Amino acid sequence: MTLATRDDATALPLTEAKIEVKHLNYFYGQNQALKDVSIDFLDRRVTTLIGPSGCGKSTLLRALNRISDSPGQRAEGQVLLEDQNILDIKGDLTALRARVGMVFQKPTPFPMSIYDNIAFPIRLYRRLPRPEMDQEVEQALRKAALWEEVKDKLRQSGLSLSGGQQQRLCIARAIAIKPEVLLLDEPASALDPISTALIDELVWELRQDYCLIMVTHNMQQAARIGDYVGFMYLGELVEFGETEAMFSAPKQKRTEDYITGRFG
Amino acid sequence: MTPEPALLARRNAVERLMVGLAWVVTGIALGILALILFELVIRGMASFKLATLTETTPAPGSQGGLLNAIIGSLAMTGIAIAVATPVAVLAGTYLAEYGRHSRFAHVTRFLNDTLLSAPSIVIGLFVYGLVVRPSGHFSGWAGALSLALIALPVMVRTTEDMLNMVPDSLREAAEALGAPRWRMIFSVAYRAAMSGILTGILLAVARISGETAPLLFTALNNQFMSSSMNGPMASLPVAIFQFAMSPYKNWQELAWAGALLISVTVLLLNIIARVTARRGR
Repeated sequence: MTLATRDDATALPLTEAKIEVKHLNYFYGQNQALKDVSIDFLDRRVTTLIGPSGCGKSTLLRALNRISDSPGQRAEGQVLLEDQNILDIKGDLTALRARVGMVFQKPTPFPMSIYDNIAFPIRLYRRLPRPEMDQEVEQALRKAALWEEVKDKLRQSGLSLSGGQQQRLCIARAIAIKPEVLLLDEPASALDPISTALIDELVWELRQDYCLIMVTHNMQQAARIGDYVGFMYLGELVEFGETEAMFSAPKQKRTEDYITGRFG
Repeated sequence: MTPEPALLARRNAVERLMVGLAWVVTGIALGILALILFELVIRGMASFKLATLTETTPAPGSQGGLLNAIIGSLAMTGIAIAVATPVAVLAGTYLAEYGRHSRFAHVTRFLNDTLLSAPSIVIGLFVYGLVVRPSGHFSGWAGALSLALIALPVMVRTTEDMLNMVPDSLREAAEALGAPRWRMIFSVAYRAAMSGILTGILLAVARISGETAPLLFTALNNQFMSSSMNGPMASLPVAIFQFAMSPYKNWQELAWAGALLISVTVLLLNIIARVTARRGR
């Protein structure tokens, strides 16, 4: 496989921040999971979040579309999605979820056909006649680089696919509703190396259209496909910058220790 | 470290003894079951005729069948399941999807477990006081209601258990796509738990189609063909009870035929339930 080279990054048009996180504090009950985190996520770029387990990177990711927030959790600060503070949204979060999609660590195909897995989210927002729905489904599967493998078995259960295919199905499902931001929570950590490479390639492709934010434990993955990288530790954003710069010359001692494998 | 030979020998002896005991006990349990089924099949087949399915219960000494009892059982079981299923599935859904760890859900779960283990005769007496006494007569409706009350907690429990087996990651994935909770439950959770919930319904049917005690106080019995739910109604278990206790030979034979019929039906329901459950996996 061939990933586009690093030089492409500079060739991409300049973009502005899609999501601006400002002084975000996040609490689970008495536990403070995020401490004064401020970070900008640029549109049409891949930003990876790295750090040891429990450092708050998943919490930060999940705050961006407020998935599973419950009464015990509390957030202070701002998460601006194009000037709207999403922490202020009361009640219905549907509109937010339509703009900020998410893919999880374990593939989560729904117990329905491959076709319906993609049509399900579309039906939440649009009532489409059959031919147009077919088109939308095909388009989403193509974007997720899965179409060629499943076009002859769209009626089969999504559960019949391999793990890597299931994860690409989930990515297709997430982009079927054309979100602006795609959150990826260790999307390849449960997959074999070949599937991981396919996902990496896909993420690299998708960055032409979306703001991608990916949590990963895999340092090579972060180095390979991230335009920017944030290193988190104990709920703080220790360092944030362009991937190349950070991996070659980290400014903070803790970042250096982590990426060279001295702890974590 | 190599183990001492004596220690090893002792351990092996204990092992053989325990495994042997387990075999013996299993053999006894299965043997008793086989004896019952053997007796049932021999005696039941001997008395089973086409007339058993096509004629109504006879007077002592004359010929007849169990048609009115079969129809009564089908009607009361059918109505009981039709009434109990929606309530049970909704209650199970509340417990698994909405209530979860809330206080109200814990109390409901406890009460449901209590109802689950309540003796069926008590359910019969309850419906007797609730329906039969005020209305002044036994009825098929009262019988169906008591059966529904027995089926209800079984199905609440299985529905909740089956929904609990649906991983939360699926719920989160649907939530992340912007699906409202009810939509997630209908399109994702029910679909994933469907075969389990169906299995629970089938097992509840099997359970109530053999119940006798709650019907004695509610539907009572009826010697004649009756499709009216407003009056006393015959059922297979009660007919078996009545005929088996009677001194008349032809009644006793019908009781055997009825017992065979009901056992085979329950066995079939259990097999279908297992096949359904397996196919869902």
